[in-house]
Amino acid sequence: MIRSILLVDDESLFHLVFEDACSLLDIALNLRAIDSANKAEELFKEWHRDPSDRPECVFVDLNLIGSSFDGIELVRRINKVYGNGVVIGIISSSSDQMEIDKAKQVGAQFWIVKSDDIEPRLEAFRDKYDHYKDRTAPFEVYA
Amino acid sequence: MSSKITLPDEAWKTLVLTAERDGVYLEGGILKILDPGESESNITYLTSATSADKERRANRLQVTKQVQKQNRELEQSKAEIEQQNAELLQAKNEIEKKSGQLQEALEAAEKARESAEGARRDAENDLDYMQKRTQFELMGRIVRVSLFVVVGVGTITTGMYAMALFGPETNAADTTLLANTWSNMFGILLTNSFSIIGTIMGVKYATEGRSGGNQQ
Repeated sequence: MIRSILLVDDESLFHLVFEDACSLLDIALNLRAIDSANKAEELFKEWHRDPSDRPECVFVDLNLIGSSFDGIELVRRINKVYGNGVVIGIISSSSDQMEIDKAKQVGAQFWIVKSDDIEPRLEAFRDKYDHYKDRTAPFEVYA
Repeated sequence: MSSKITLPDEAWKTLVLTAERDGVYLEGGILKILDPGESESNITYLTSATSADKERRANRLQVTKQVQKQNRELEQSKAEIEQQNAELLQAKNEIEKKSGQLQEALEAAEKARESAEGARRDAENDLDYMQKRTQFELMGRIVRVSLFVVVGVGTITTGMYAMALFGPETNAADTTLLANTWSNMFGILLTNSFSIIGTIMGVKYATEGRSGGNQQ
């Protein structure tokens, strides 16, 4: 089970869906959800100084309305500037191949397509999580 | 995975008692890290609490998904309505544009009609003028011929009278007859001349009066 997850998504209802799905599937012990890429960057700045509360895994929505940059840019910043080893990927209703390629280039490890039936995808992700953690799993799209 | 936590027996007893008495259980992530130990009642409590927690979450998940779906449908409907509104607005603008063009065409047609009306009036005026001119020319000719006739007759009669008066073979009786004849003739000619001039003036004024009335 993942110790802590950070979800960055501008849709509040999805926070509840994700939290309940993670709890039912025993994916995470602790889940924090925020709605903006800017807030996420601020948090990672703090965790860069004191990594004790840093999440193990980060799920980022592709389009973050109200943020000054999108999910792919957030992944890039977390990976290149603040992250240093967190498991990070995109969770989005889009499955645009161009965006998926961009996410892969900036260091995203997975891409989960949001839908009403998200539990099987999260379950598949959970089963491979250890490989993502030790960086042995290839980039994968859960659609 | 975090290590499990254990609770003192007293705490477990309190939890089990509260569950039996009030039906209230612990819930959330804490259930995943509690170690019930060997106690059968603790294991039963934890199983019941976990089961109730999962049931609540599953129900909430279904409701949240339903709300999420309805939200998506509402957003889709909103987008469709906005698109329809945009199309209606565009149609309205096109109708207004066409209406403006139609109005311009109507104004142009009205101007053309007024212009044609003006041309018709000008043509009528020209025709009237031509008719009047022809009438005046005719009258002028009549006046000239009449005056020539009057003047010719007067000149001839006067010449004949002068020859009778001053000729080599003068006769008093002839002269008297000629004098009377000349006098009568001249009177008649003058009367006729004035009559002609008066008639012409009368026709002229009558024509001017009628054309003035038409113009009004």
